[in-house]
Amino acid sequence: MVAIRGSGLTSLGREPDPSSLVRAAVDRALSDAGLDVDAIDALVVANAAGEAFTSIGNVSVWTATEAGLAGTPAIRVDTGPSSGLAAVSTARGWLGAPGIDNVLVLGWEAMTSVPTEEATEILAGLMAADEREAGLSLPRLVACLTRAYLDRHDRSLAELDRVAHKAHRLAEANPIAQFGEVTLDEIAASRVVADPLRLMHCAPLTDGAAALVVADEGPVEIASMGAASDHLAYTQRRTPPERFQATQDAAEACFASTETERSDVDVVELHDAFVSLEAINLEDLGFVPDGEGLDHVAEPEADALGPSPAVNPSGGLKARGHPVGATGLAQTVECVDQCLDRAANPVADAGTALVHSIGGFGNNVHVALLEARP
Amino acid sequence: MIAASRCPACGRVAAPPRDRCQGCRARTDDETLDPEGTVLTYTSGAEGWIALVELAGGARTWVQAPSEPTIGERLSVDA
Repeated sequence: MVAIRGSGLTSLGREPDPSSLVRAAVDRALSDAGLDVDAIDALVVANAAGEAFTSIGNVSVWTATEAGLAGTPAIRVDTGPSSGLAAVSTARGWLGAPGIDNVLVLGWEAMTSVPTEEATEILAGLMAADEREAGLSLPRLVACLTRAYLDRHDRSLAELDRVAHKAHRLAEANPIAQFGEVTLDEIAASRVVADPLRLMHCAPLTDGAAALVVADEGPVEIASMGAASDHLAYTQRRTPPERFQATQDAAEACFASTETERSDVDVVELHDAFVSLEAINLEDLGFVPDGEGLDHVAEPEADALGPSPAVNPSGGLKARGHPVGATGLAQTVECVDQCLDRAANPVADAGTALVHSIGGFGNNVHVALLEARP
Repeated sequence: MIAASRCPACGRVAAPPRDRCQGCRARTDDETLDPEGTVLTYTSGAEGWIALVELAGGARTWVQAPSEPTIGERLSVDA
C-alpha cells in the first residue's frame, strides 16, 4: 500500500517569503507524521514557476536545503498548476526503491512578490504561443469554455455567482483560507475580466506551501491515481468546446485500477481556478450528467455542503487560495483532513475522497483517490 | 480560400496548415478551405471580441470580431 503518513499546510494568502513557507509546511507534515527530518529518504518538490516569481534557481536543491534535507535526493516536478498532485504520483513511483521508505512531497509557490500583470504573463506561459499571439490569456480561454457551457446547457451567469458565493462562505470557516465571505452583489458587480467571467469568478494569486509524507503505511491510503494530457492549443482539440477531455481520461484511468466507484466518494476537491470549472469538472469526472453540475454546486441552502459528494468544502482554489505549484497538495491535505475528521468544514463520515488537479488549460490533469484506513 | 492541411491517414484538418498531423503524426497533404465557419464560442479581447470558429473538416481557428458575435453564427476568417 502507498499511504499518506502525515500532512501539513501553511496559511494561504500573502506571505511571499519562500523560506518561511517551506519550513512551516515541512514542520507541520513531519509533526503530523510523528517523524524527525532524519527519517526522510527522498524529496519531491512541486513548484510551477519559482524562477519567474522569485529569483530562486535549482528549486529542488534550494528547497531541500531550506527543509533541512541537504544531502537527500531531491526531484522537482513541474506540470504547472497540477504540479502538487503530479509530485504525489512521482513519490508513489519512487517509494519502495532501495532505501526509500519515507518520501517528503513538498509544494510551494510565492506569487505575490511580482505585480499582477507580470504574474498573469508568467501563467500565460502555460499556453500555446500562437494562442498568446492571437490575444488569448488563460482567463480568456476559460471564458470561452464557460460561455460554450452556459449556452449548451442553458444555464445562467447568476448560477456561477452562487458557486462563488458558496466557495467564499466555506472559506470563511477555514482558518487557513485566503478569503472570507462576500455578498452576491459584490460578486455580480466585480469587473469583467474576460466576458462573461468577472473578477470574483476567478481564483486569486496566492503564496503558500503544503507537504505530505508518503510511505508504505499511514492513516490514509492513496488507493489509485490517474493522469492525462491534451493538445496544448484549444484550436487543436476536436472535443466539444465546453469539455476537458483530459479530466475525463484521468478519471477513467483512476477508477479503472480500483474497485472503488464514484458513488463511494464522500468528498471531492477539484480544480476550480474559475467557478464554472466546479460544475464542468464534476461532470467530466463522471459524478453527475453533463449540464447538471450547477445543480450540485450552486449552493442549495445557506449552511449546507450540498449533496454527496461534497465539493470543495475547503473553499476551493477560488476562496481558499491557489498557490499554483502547491495547489494539488493543498487539495490533498484537505482530503486527508476530511478522511481523518479534522477538517474545518467536516463532511459527515467521510472516508473516501477524490482530488482533481489541472495543469494549464484543460491539460496535464491528475486525479487521486484517497481512502481512510482503519 | 485559406491554406490548410489534411491528414491522409486520419482525416484531421488543420488551419493554418501543419507539416505533420497533430493527431497521428503522419505527413499531411495541402488543402484549401472556405474561410467561412461557425462560431463555437467567444470572449472579449483587448479590443473587440475574439471567437473560436470551426471551419470545414473540423479545423478550428481564432477570428477577431469588431462586434459581439453569437454562438452558431457564420463568421469569416477574413472578417
